[in-house]
Amino acid sequence: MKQNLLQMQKAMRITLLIFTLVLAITQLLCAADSRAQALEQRLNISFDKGNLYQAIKKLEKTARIEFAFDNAVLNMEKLNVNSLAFKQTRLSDILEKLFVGTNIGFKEERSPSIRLFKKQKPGKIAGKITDDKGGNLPGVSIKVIELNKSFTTDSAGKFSINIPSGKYTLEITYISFKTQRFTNVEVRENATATLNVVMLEQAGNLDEVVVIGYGTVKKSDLTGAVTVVKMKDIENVPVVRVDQMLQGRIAGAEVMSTSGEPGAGTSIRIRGTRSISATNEPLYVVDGVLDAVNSLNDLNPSDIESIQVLKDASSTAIYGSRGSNGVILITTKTGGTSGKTNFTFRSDVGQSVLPRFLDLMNAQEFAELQNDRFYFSSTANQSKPLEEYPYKNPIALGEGTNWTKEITRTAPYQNHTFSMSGGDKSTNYYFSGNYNDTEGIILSSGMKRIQSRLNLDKTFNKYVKSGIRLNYSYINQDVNKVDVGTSTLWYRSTVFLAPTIAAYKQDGTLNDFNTQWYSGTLFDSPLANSLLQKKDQVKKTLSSMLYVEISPLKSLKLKSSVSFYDYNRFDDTFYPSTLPTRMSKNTGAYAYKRGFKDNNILNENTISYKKVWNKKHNLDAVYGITFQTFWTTDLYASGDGYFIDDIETNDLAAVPTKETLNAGSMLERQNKISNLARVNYNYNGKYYLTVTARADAASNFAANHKWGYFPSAAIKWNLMKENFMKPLKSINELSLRLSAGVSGNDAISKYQSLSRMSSNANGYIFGGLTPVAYYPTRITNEGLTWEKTTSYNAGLDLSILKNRLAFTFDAYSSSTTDLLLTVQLPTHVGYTSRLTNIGKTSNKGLELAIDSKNITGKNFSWSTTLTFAHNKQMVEDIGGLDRISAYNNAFGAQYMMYGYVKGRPLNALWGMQYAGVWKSQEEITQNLTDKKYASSAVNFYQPGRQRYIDQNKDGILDNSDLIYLGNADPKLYGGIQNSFNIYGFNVGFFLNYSIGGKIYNPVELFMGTGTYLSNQFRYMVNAWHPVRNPASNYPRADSKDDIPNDRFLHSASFLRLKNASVGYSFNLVKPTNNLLKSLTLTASGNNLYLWKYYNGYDPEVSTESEGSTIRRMDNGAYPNSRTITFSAELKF
Amino acid sequence: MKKKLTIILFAFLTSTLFFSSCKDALLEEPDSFVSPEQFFKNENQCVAALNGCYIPFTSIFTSGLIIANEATTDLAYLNSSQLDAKFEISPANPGMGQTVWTQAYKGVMFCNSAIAGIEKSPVDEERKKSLIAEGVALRAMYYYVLTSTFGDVPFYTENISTLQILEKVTALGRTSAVEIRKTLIAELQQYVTSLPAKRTSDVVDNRISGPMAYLLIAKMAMWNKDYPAALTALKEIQKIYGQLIQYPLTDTYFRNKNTAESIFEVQFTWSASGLKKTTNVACFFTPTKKAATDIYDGVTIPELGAKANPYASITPSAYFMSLYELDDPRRNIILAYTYEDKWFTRPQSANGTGKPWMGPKFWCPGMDNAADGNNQKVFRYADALLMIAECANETGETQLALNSINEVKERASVDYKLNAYPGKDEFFEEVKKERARELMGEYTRKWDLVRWGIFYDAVKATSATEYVEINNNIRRYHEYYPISDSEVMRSSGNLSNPSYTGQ
Repeated sequence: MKQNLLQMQKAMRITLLIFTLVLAITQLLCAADSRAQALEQRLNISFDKGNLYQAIKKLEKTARIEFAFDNAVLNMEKLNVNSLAFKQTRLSDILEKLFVGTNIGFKEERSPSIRLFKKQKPGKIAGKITDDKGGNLPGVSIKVIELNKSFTTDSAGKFSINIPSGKYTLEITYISFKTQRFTNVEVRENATATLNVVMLEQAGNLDEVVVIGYGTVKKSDLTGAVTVVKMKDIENVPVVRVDQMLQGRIAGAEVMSTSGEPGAGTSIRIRGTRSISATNEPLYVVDGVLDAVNSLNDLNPSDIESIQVLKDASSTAIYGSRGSNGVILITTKTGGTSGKTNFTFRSDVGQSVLPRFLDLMNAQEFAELQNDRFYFSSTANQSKPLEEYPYKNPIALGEGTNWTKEITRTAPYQNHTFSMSGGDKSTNYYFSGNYNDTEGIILSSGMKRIQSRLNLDKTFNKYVKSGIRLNYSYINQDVNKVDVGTSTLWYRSTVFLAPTIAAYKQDGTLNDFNTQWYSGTLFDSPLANSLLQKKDQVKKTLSSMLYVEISPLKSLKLKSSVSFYDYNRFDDTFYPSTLPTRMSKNTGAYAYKRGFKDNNILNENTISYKKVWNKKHNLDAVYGITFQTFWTTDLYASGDGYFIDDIETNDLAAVPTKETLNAGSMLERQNKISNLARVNYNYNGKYYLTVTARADAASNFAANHKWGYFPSAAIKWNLMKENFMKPLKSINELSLRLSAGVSGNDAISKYQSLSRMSSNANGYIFGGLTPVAYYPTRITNEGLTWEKTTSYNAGLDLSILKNRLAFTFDAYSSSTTDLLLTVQLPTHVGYTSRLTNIGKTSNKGLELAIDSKNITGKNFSWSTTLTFAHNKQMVEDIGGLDRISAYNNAFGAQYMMYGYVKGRPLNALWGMQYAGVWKSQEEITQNLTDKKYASSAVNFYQPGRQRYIDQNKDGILDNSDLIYLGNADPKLYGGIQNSFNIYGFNVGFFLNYSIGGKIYNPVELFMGTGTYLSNQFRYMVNAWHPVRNPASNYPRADSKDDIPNDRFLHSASFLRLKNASVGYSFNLVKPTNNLLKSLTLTASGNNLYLWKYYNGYDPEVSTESEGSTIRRMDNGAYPNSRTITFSAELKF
Repeated sequence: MKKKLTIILFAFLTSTLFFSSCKDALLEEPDSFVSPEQFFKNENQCVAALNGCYIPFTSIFTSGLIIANEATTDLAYLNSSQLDAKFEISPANPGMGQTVWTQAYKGVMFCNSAIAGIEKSPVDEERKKSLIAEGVALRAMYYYVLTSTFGDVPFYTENISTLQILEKVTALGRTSAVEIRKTLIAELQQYVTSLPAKRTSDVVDNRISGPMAYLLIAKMAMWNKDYPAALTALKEIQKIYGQLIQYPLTDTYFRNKNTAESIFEVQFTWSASGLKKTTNVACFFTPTKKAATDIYDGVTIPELGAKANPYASITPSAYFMSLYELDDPRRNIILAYTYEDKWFTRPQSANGTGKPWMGPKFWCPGMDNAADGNNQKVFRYADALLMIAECANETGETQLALNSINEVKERASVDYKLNAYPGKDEFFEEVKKERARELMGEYTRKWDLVRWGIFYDAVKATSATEYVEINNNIRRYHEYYPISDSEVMRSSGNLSNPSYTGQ
């Protein structure tokens, strides 16, 4: 594998080399063109008085150059020449002199041949451009196609172009107006051709075709809440993954990466979170195929033609039980019909860095804190001499080890894509290949991707059309091996490690002893884990789709498609015997191998009918049946104790004792059947009605709950078609939309309704062996079925000022019932949790997208897109339970930090209310009667230790004192995209923001409590101390009490300069004689700056996110990197 | 062309029909796991289910429980950051109680399921009864741990197979521990004869045998102060185990596994490249070590090796040290003043009045970092004999009481034998002391103190005088562990900790 990759790298290098060469040659060509060689030669020649023809002939002889000309046209005999003499004069100058006063021109063709021709006197095209009401239109662009030159109208809307005579094609474009083309505009010598143009306003880009589920509609005919992502804004943004293109650009969609690790998953919430235990991720449909990709990493962003996001029930109901979380429709590029082939080669290179370090203690500060701990612990004798303190001279320790710095690096990034597309009237194709190498900012983490796509369509005749879509991706991920912030393995997690622990031993080898783990322990440091462990994950995804479309009548279309999805994942994990803990115990190496396979076949058959009656009644109907089958297999084996490290995971059989060999396998199947139907009707583009229904059945629900029905309807009123709107000239578009419907969520694992006995061959020891043991892990779950979401949407589309300002406003309300809910059971039942259909959540929200063309000029244009979204999600009911915990602190009584309580926001944060520290023994004694505060246990009733508000004044801190601390969801979020065109430079920057949410920093339960176990946030230098700092409200050294509280809660609001880019396109058509088309150079940066309050790396994080409700949960997230990239894109 | 078109159309329609007629496709049958209905079809499957019932023991009998049961008593204390050791426990900080609660109830649930499954299995009746007896005894053991640690706890023996039962069990509050024990004693009495009447060491694969069930009857009966019932059961054990003198004292070392005197041991093992099931109990019982050497508090101990990583060690209380005669062989097994006649540094300090370390009984030879592969001794015959002595003292069978305690004393030294019955109260005091001398580190001291009702006062008078944290923190309610606040919450308030009152 490694070797293959090396070869890959070599291949890439060669490609790069070719690319550079192409560039160089281009330059040469330009040079050759501008410097004609024959004309440059210097001659000695004299001419006698005579005619020009004789002179030219003499020149031809002397200079040994051929002149090509048609004397019948030039009539040179009739032109006289005076006697002239030249010495060492350039040929071009000689010719200039000879032709003075004539209309003869010369041009070097192929050296040594010079063509002489009759110079033509330029003509002129002039005219005026107005709108349909006769208003002047300044700044309209007039492009002369043949010359590839553009001109603009003046302030009076007039233009005048000097141009050689000939026939030209003119293209007139102006923002918000329909582009017009005039062919065969004839220009004669010395004459002015007049061209007066009346521009017709364009109703936005409403003729644009939008993909919806199982069909397409014109944008103007959309009845649901659908966002169309403008691919133009994102073209030059260097991203590996499609979701990174979407962040902040869709009103009402919150896009987060689960971590900053290359290859990490993504998490998207459209209009909030509905489900508690089932997934909340939207459904992805690629080229009409459900379940076509394993993750968005499988797609190359450059392959994407358009992205549509379906948000309301009217548009998602066609996906029935899969639609309630919204649907993201991705359509990939197809070839053209012009008969030409277009090639694009694009290279991006760049690098990523860790944007910031956490504000943690250095070694001196940490050592001082440890001395304080010692001071407090030996209460019997606090007058101990300094010599007995654990750190005699903290100052000498200085900065100590910055563990984060030790494991991070500047990581290179490169991405290369080649694509070709083309076709003619019957066949069109699009092909692309991509290589991506993204290294992670943490040592030995990263991802390499090889991906290819082929889209091919063939029209056989007017009845039959067929095509295929193939996407293959190969991802080799070097999985991150380092714990960054998670408290589960705190004693080896990077940010937890004390700065007093050296990264290396005196002899230069890796340090293997964590002195802060109670009385110290041997450990594998993050550095050792990243350098020595191996964790490879290879993911191969093939998604293929074949379709046939038959139109026996013009109005009728039958379409049948079969898609096959083949996903294979291979894991290789290897812990060599040289890993410190293994070396010390002499336990040899550990090897693990896994092969995971996930397949599905989807067959979809639709019949659609489209008809217009009386030019007013438009009907468009579709009916379909789909069948889908899934199967998943898993196989793994691991062994422990290998004594040859070099073999790694490649000879599992070489295990010294079979007792340590483990293996497992599994098979799961699932089937789904669906019927779907939709009718779109509109009367004259004025009144619209859409009715949709889908019936779904899936095998993974309980026996009598297999089928679900999902109806929806929408209406739209296009006010612009009403007569009373006619006088309102300033409004260009105004329509109202209303929709209501039901969609579902079926995303739970398979077999959840069946009881289960699990096997375990690593259980109790009987006679020195661990024979297989069986025990129950799940009870039958009758009644398990879909979750249903009923939603309502009201939308308004408004466009004013000649479509320069467009608003899309939506208000929605949805409620989800029969929640698939994992209820935590009291532990005494022996099971930890159970899945049920209870409870109800609701979402209400507003979305606004504003598109503004601020300035449109020839040399400067500026457009802005703003999105605003507000979403309020509440738990309406949790089936009579008091609360359902979503995330608990892993220590102590495992208090709930994220959890659901009726009447509270879905992403409610919970904890105790911090009340500072006890300042004196008197306060503690007084509290015996007051019962105002409570501490976690008896030993925390001490000066300098934490107390919390005793909410019910019962004298003990327990669950009844746990209160609602805030909402993790923002009040407002969205993005601001600005695009500029300044003298041909494309400049864009994009900001995204989130205002009003809260976030826990769970690592502070260790790192903000003065514990000796882990490093501390720097603010703990201000910890309480009876002498130095008696007024402080930070707890004294060694006060870890495992109580989540509002002290660890922070504002999650932020503003991020998500990306900025500047690019320039060079038109290469002329200089390369059509060999190359254009070269675009772009510099861009991603995640450039972050304004935040949170003391962790980044508040836009969600470690618990894939499929889960919890948002803004930061426990061990790989930090997001800051990336700078340079790109070159060559089209030819 | 038209023909072709018809064919395609036809194919389209048939395929549509074909796919939509797959009604069976919606049936779900698991391919890679079994349901309880499919299981328990033969004896092997029943045994495999019982195997599962043992698993939680390895998570219960480990350092958490031994610190709570031995190092927060009158015999010893532990100066470390373990919050159990300093009574820093509360519903908010349930300490090791959380693990014991979770694991013990997991054991209960596994046993309930196995027993229900075996009852329905086609195994022959005789064998079936012995299989059920094993499940019943294991379940009783889990409840014994639960009632001893938490007092009153939820009690159920039903197999949770349906939602209705699940809901019923979820709503359970605390049941009186006395009632729980009564029920279990009756059940054990019904099944005990179906278990092999053999020493545990004589049973294949160290599965439990009759004496384990008898001992549980006796332990629980003594908690309930039903001494005659306890005596009856203990006498059965005596029939099987005979004279104590036949079992050498070295059998009590944790490193010596499944010895003849054992009644119940929890199995652990450690090998560098083989099977690993470890605790870290020995880490709390080993003398302090000089890094990267095999020198332990000034003494080279080759058998312990250089790789061990002992934690802060459990310290014997002055009271406990005072219980031993200087020549008591158990003193040098349980406490370590010397190793092969070389004195450790600590006991020599303060003019030879320094504390000894905990002794070689608990050490793990060749311990690697914190991996202790010793078996954990939970019940053994000497315990049973001392229980006989205690019960007989209560029932007035003074000779039996005297004989039994003397069997234990005599094994240590003939000189320690009591020549005459000293009176009921005095004898009881002697039993308390003898249990300390004999059984230190076998998960029983705290439970004994609580059962005798003297926990708070005994600790306050001994360890608390030496370790200020215990003195500051101990409260009367600490005799039982609190149920974790998270359990209180999940049970919708059916469970609570009325005795825990904070400050």
